[in-house]
Amino acid sequence: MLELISLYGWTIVAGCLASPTLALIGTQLAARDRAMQTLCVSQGALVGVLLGLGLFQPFDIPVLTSVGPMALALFFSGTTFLLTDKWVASRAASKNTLFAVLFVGLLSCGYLISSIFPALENHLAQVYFGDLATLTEGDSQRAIFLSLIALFFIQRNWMGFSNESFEWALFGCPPSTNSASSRWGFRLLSLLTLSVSVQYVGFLFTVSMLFVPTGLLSLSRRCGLKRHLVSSAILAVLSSGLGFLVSLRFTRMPTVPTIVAALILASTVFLLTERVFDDAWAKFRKHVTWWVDLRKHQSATQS
Amino acid sequence: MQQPMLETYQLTYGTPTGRILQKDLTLSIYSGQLLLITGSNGCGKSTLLRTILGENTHYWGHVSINVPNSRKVYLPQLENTEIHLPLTLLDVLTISQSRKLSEESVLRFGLLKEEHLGIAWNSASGGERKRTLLTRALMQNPSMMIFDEPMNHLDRKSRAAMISVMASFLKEQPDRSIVMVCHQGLKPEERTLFDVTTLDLDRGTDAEDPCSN
Repeated sequence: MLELISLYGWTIVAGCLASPTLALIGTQLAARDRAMQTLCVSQGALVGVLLGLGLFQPFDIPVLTSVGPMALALFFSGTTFLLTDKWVASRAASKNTLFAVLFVGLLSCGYLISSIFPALENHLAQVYFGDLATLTEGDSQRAIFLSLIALFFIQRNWMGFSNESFEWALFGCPPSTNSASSRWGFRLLSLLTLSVSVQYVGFLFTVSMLFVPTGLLSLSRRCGLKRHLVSSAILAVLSSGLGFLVSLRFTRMPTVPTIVAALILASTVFLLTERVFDDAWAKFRKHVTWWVDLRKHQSATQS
Repeated sequence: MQQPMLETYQLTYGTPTGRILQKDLTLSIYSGQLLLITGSNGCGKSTLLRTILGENTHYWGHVSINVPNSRKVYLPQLENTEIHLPLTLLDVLTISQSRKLSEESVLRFGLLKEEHLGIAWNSASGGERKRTLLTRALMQNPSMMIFDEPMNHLDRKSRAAMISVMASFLKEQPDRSIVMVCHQGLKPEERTLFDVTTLDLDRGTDAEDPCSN
């Protein structure tokens, strides 16, 4: 087992850094009611990756097979984003239906591309469901580098991003006082992270890490922004590491679905534990208050 | 001569579908003044605010705001008041300033009390949310505040608190003004606190306030 861990060391670190990055971005996207739009944008990135692999793989030049799909993923996700953003800006009542239409279109497009380039058949499943175990050391290091930059950017701007999300959610528009660079900062960060993540760790991992932690933690009775962000990030890291280790131990278990299962399980356990603890604490406080009141009453009667 | 903070000249505006809402509106608002916009449903009160802010481009004529974007605060009507983020009222204020805030700096505006700060935004009442948003707006030290129906669904106490804070906002410093859409208008005792220009979109500028009778 230790040998396997040392063999996949870079990959484990890449997964553990990509997951909190995605979880923190997903929290902001969910707050802006962009989950459906993000599904389309991720699907757009996936089409770009498939097309890039199909076009550049025959040349067998490592740089081209790595950078080419990423560039096309960025182009396709960016185009999908700009198109869908118009629907959001126009506040179209049927925007979720339009997103569903676009998603289905892009889904078909992905399958069509894989049929045109027969060599892609193996890649199709990998890009959709991901397999961290097949990440090369170079890919893992690139993913680590990009995740660290994204995490640094998020750490510096989490309040500004949250304020923008708050105004989007409440007023349906970004803060009027924000500069254009500040407005585009989060959009560019999300697009880059989504495109890179879909290419390296797959669609399922990307979308799960974006929305599962924040979605399940929104069921918590406790409030506080910092608490929500930190819990989402920690759950994402823990389940990435745990899921990967479980899939290494039980070789028949695929990496990404195991990580997603671990994420759902860990989030549920976290919520249940919190609820049990809160209920017990409330009961304890009630008893203490009752006992203090009783003592006060007794001392008042005695005097 | 004093320069107006907000000016429109022969402004005609409408909806993106081409429906004209108002024609040839001319008005000027100077520092220290409150522009009160009233009128019936659908007469274009909120669209006028969006036109002033540059969000509605379906207009002819002249509009100018002589206040930089960073000194202008707009509080639209609250359409969707529940949000995904589990923010407390203090969080709402903190993220707007992008720094940790002391309780005193929040409480000094007199709209919120200490016990309000830990309340979740999603479980706060409409009045608590509006007080928080007004505190948030005041913390940005704006020159112009633009409100769309800020008094809707407020009880008497909350309304009085909002009016009092708005009046102090105009009196504290000279280079400030407020533009407010208020369906019900202001009560006579409230009007005495302000230098008000009323724009009734059903009748014209400096019409009688619907609440003043």
